[in-house]
Amino acid sequence: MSECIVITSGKGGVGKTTTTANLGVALAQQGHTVAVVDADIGLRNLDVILGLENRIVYDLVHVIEGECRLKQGLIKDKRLDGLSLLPAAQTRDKNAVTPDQMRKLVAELKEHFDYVLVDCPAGIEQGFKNAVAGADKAIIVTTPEVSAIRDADRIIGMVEAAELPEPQLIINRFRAKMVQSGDMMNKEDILEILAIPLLGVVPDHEDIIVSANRGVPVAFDDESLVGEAYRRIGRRLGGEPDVPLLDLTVDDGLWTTIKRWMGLAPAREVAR
Amino acid sequence: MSNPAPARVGGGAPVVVRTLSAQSGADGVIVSVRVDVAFDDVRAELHRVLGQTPERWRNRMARLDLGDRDVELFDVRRLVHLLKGDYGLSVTAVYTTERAVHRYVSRELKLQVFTRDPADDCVQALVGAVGEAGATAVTEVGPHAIDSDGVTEIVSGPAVTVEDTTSFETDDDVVEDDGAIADLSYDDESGAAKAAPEPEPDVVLPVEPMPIRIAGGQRVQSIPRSLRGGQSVRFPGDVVVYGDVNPGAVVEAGGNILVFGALRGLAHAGSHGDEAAVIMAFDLRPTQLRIGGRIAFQGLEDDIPRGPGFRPEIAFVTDERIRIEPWRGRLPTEQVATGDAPPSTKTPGDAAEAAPVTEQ
Ligand SMILES: Nc1ncnc2c1ncn2[C@@H]1O[C@H](COP(=O)(O)OP(=O)(O)OP(=O)(O)O)[C@@H](O)[C@H]1O
Ligand SMILES: [Mg+2]
Repeated sequence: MSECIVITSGKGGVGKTTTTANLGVALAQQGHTVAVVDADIGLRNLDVILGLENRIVYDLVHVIEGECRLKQGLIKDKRLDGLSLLPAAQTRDKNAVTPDQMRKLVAELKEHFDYVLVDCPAGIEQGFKNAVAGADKAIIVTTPEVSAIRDADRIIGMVEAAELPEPQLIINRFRAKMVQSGDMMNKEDILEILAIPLLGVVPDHEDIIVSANRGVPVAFDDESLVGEAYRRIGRRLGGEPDVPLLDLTVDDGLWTTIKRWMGLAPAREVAR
Repeated sequence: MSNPAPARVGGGAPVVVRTLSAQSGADGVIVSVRVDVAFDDVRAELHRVLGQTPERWRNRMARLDLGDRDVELFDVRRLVHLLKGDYGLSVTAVYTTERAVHRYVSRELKLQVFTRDPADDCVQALVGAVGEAGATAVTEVGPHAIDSDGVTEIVSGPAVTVEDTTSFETDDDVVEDDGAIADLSYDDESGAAKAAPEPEPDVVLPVEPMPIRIAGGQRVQSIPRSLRGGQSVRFPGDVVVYGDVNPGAVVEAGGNILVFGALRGLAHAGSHGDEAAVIMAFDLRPTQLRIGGRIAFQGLEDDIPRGPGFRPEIAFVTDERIRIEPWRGRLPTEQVATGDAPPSTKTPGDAAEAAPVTEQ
């Protein structure tokens, strides 16, 4: 049974594209076949983050308009078996596609892949409506900022209105230190307002920026804490819902963290 | 909300329903309500008169003749809704008198209202009037319409009589049937949504055809879930939310608001001006509260304790301001349920117990 998951947030720049790319990698690493679809038509990014920009010949709009076959539009990631990208068109806008066309496209993709991940554009307009059209469920990405949480709340309402099942939440750019000093909202505060299940927490980390610039999603990096966060989310999503979240709540010094990483200190895990 | 009866009409039937003659080319009825009859009796009477042949009224136009009865927006809405819901009659206009409109305006504005001829110079008139100590002459209003939230048009002037049918036009004043029904809407501010090829309605919560329960003469709208940002509920009676009201969500009720969850958004109780209305929530931490015409909001410094320590609280108007107290199982003294509910919760022992304790 394959599944289409839309990654959405309402607010822009909170990490939808980063999440889509890394979950795509994480799920493919587990042996699933995955298509990541960039639905941010006109502002394509996903190809850059995946380092596949230079291989684009056709895009999503070409496929939808019948200028090429689906197979021709898909770019296979040579680093990882099972991962493919359907890039967005850069020269068109969101109105080039209708929800019905997206539904058809997703249905076709689902015949070939275990997971179809759709990177939703920011906002609540046409682009959002297109991105959720074919989805079976939604992942909401937010950062621990009030404005992002407000928008996430609103988007959850719209996801419910689109009659998708209860979405799951990823809190991105989490900074344990700031939470500890009371300068950032903690997980519990966010969950109290949004009232949906937590799928994962991703720390705010420069690895993301470095990896985005290199075109190698951080989930490829076995040594990276953020990479591990995404791999765990991938496992929780891909059939192991009981995999514990990464412990980000306590910051007991860089060295302990590194040692824990390398397996020299006991791993700390938090119950869900 | 009883209507003090202006002594105009004596006896006679509480409600008279007249059909317009066929020659007029208009298809409609006039429902006249005697001024001194309470709303609940009007309803019973309507049922007696119209209920015998309900099919006869379906999809027809009606005009409501209130005579010199006080214009109580809430009651008018209820009547309009009742006629539509129970008998399929669409009320397209309300007939009232200039005096009633005048009373209505001064009541709503809570000010003395003087009417004058448009040609008069107001200042001149005042200066001229200084000599005549205390002389506050009130002249009658000219023909005068008040917009009443799009519920229906209120027209002052003599009520149409059956002979007067030529003036009964049915084309341009059809009332949309949304005024009195709870309004669950998504305020989608995106321009792009309008440009979308198939404009999907932005209604988020299903609106049942008649989501209304009559409980002890008062209407209650239940929302069986949380309201998230961008979602709103508007209802002329009480609203009960079984869930949270999140920031960016709006609940507006003509009566009271009860939230069986956290109230974090905006709540406006007594939205037709009723300051006896109350707002209650399991966890009251609103962006803003409004009761009647009063507004209160959370100051940035007011650090309300979070977490499981919260307790249900009630907001109500006292001493001209909105006050929040822990809920002690009964309404604070002087506070009565709004709408037309009787002041049943008022007990003599309340005064002592309602000592103001705000644990914030
Ligand atoms: N966990 C993180 N730590 C540090 N930087 C991050 C993290 N997540 C995202 N970023 C950075 O935030 C920026 C926005 O991320 P991204 O493009 O994934 O967001 P988006 O939601 O897809 O944005 P848009 O709404 O524009 O599509 C990028 O520069 C990215 O590198
Ligand atoms: Mg993006």
